[in-house]
Amino acid sequence: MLRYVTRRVFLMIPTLFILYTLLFVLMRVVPGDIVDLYLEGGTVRSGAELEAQKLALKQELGIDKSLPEQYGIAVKKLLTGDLGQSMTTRKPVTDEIKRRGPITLELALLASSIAVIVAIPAGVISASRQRTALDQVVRVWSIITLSVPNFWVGTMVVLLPALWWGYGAPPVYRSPFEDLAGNLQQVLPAAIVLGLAFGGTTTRFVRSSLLEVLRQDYIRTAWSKGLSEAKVMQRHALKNALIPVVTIIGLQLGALFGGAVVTESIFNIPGLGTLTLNAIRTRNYTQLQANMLLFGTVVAMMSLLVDISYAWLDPRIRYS
Amino acid sequence: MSDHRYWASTSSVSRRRFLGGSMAVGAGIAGAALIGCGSSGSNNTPAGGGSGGSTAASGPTVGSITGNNWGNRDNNAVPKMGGTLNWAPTSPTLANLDPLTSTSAMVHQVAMPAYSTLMHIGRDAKDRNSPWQYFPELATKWETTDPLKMVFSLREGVKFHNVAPVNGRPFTSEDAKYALNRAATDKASLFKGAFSAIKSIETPDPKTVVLNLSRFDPLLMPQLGGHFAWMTPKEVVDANKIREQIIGTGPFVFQKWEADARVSYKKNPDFYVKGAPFVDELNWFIINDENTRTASFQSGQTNIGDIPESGIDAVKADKKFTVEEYLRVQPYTLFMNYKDDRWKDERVRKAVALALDTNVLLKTMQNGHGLWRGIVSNQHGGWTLSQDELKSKKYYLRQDIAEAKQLMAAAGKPDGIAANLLYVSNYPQAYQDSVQYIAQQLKTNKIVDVKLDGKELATMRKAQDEHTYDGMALGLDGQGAPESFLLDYRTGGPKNGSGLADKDIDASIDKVTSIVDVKERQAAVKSWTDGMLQKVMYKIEFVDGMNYTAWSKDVKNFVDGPPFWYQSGHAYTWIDKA
Repeated sequence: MLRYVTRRVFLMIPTLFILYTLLFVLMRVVPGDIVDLYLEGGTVRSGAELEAQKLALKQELGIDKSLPEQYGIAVKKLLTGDLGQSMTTRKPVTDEIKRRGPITLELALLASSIAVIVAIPAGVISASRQRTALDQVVRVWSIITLSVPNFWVGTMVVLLPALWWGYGAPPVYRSPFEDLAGNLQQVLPAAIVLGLAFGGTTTRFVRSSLLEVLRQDYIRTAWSKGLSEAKVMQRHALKNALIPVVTIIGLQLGALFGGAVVTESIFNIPGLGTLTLNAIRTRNYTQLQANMLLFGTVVAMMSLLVDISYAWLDPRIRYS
Repeated sequence: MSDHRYWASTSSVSRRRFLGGSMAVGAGIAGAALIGCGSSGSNNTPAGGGSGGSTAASGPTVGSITGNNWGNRDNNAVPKMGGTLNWAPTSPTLANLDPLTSTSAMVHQVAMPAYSTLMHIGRDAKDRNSPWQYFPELATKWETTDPLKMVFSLREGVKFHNVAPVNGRPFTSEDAKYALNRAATDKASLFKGAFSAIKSIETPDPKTVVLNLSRFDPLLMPQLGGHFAWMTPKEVVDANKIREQIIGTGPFVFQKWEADARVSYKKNPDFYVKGAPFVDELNWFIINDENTRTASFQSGQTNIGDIPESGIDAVKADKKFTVEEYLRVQPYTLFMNYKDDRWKDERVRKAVALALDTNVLLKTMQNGHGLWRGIVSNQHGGWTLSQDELKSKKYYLRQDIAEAKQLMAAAGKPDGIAANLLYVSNYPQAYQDSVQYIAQQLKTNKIVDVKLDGKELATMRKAQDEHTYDGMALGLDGQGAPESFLLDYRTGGPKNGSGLADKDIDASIDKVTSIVDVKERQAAVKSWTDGMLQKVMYKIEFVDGMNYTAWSKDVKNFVDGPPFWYQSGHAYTWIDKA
């Protein structure tokens, strides 16, 4: 197992390096850079003066050099652990990542927990009561949560209480250690919106995986031995059905960490998602590269953890 | 001597503005004290609203506190002290706090409570579409009788905020010189062009600033009242803290910036207007999503809000809020690329204009609220053609499909031409609807077979600013002062999205903007506008829309600054607590 984990960790390095390189090149070949955005509302009028100002800004930001030169400098810094400075704040990109990472982590963990808490019982009920009214209800619910865009749900969750009851969540994020009630007022609705959306997908996975397991011979044997439904489900069926479910939950958690941009924006949660969105909008290359590297690392780590969990769930699986 | 004082003569224009649409903004009676400008040749006496004081109310009236420093809604009202003002401005991205190295409106909105200018620009508080006036701020008097010289007399007793490294020291003429020089010459300043007419700055004594000009520039005075000319202290710039700290002479002292969350302020106990500000704290919430901003306002998390068109009806219907509306520049403009031979024939450009119904675009862009715009925004009464003139047959803002087709046939293009229309793919729905309307109208009527080319903002702006787009672009323009709209037609002009580069037009613009007498200049601008509109010079500026600011009923005396000038009226706003 240790060799397997070590090998996987080392394999992450070239994967992340390719991701970094692709991102580096793609961002810089797209027309329009941060200097164009800076200058668009300025008052410098003549062509020559404007060009001089553009050059000065590009030199300050290090984007006046050729692409290979910029890449070489960036990689050299990366190898020493320096992810660079934000092009907007001129501070290390890690400052904002350190500040916002825990916020997004809280949102992601809460949302995933809600998804699991809802999805597993719903999936179990649906599978064990296949073709009954209860099964239909759960299936319809999971389709609805899959189909309705969560940005719309989020907007309704924010707007309707304000319109009907004059209620609004605090507009400024508070850490749970500072003000738990205020924190939950803001983060919990966002987590529920996200969690229910992911819960729909997870419910369907639990249901289909469980249905397959319930058809196995060893389950028939367990029934014929006279075990109760609860014992059959808990001891024999569920654990074996969880492999695809754990996969989806792991991938969702990774995606949530990097991708809850719209939800963070709607609920005004200053997490990594809004940081990434702003970095894209402002062409803040260094911040965007650092964020993407982080997301890639998280997804790769989640994928490894998921693979390792298979060995625990299914003793037949062995890694070497 | 001719009256060259830029804003002075506008104060003699009637403050009632006929809007011609459904806008009937309360056109209250402006106090005579609001018109402070003296006769020709004398020093400018600043405008102000200080007629108050004679009242039986308990406590000093707001008029007696503000004097002529501000135009209050009711000079006899007695302000209450304390409380917190919360606002979520509209622009989302706050990159840093240096007002000179960011053109994002966000930094100017959040920094305005802490900074001051020599004077500020405002309106009659009771008529939000009245002509703009100057109010004293760090300068209490200014002399502009010589078109190549401006002399400002500074206010006594002004101090910077008592925060390191400035530590509450007095503000002097040297500080004004430093701040203006920084704006005009710092390599990182994005607003150098605003001060290109300043040849030198002298400070004969700590209370006098003299600007010597290389040429008369009608835009200089309004620029000096704007965020380009905020008095930023040398110590903060030298300590390399200007991007993360705000220290000024304004009514509020910066506390902290929580990125993507809030910028917070506390009242300045040493503010030069004694007795102000009235509230204790000010918070600028940074809320990216428009719906969330509206919800925050409606739920009372913020007590002042910029309300989008889509949410305004609900806010207006709610008796808890007061809504004020006033004209603003609706910035969406159709550019035709000057370098593109397809647009060289004036008849083709006219045909494009005639194919579009400005009333429909007013509906899509502004829900029907606003006015037709020629070139100069309708915000500037006296500088624009009337609505009837703009709708006449003389110009091409009206719709006439038959005439459009005749023009195309006469130009040898009876079946139309093909062209792309570049647009921003992630702009609000009103913009997207306008894009679709324009494309559909031109295509259906065989004027232009439009191929839509959607790009995200940075890419689109680069193409607009470098004129590398193919065909047309529905882009952005919009300016502050009236003459600045002409500069958008000048070679290298700041928002010359067509890439127009015509020496004769440049010369005509220079001629108009060098006219010293304001009334003559107004007439010249209108005449120039007339000439340009008759030729449809590579751009069509459709409408001016409405801005909506709303506040909860317990917020009193809030007077928003004019668009394009960021200044804090929050010093003289109070909360009427029960």
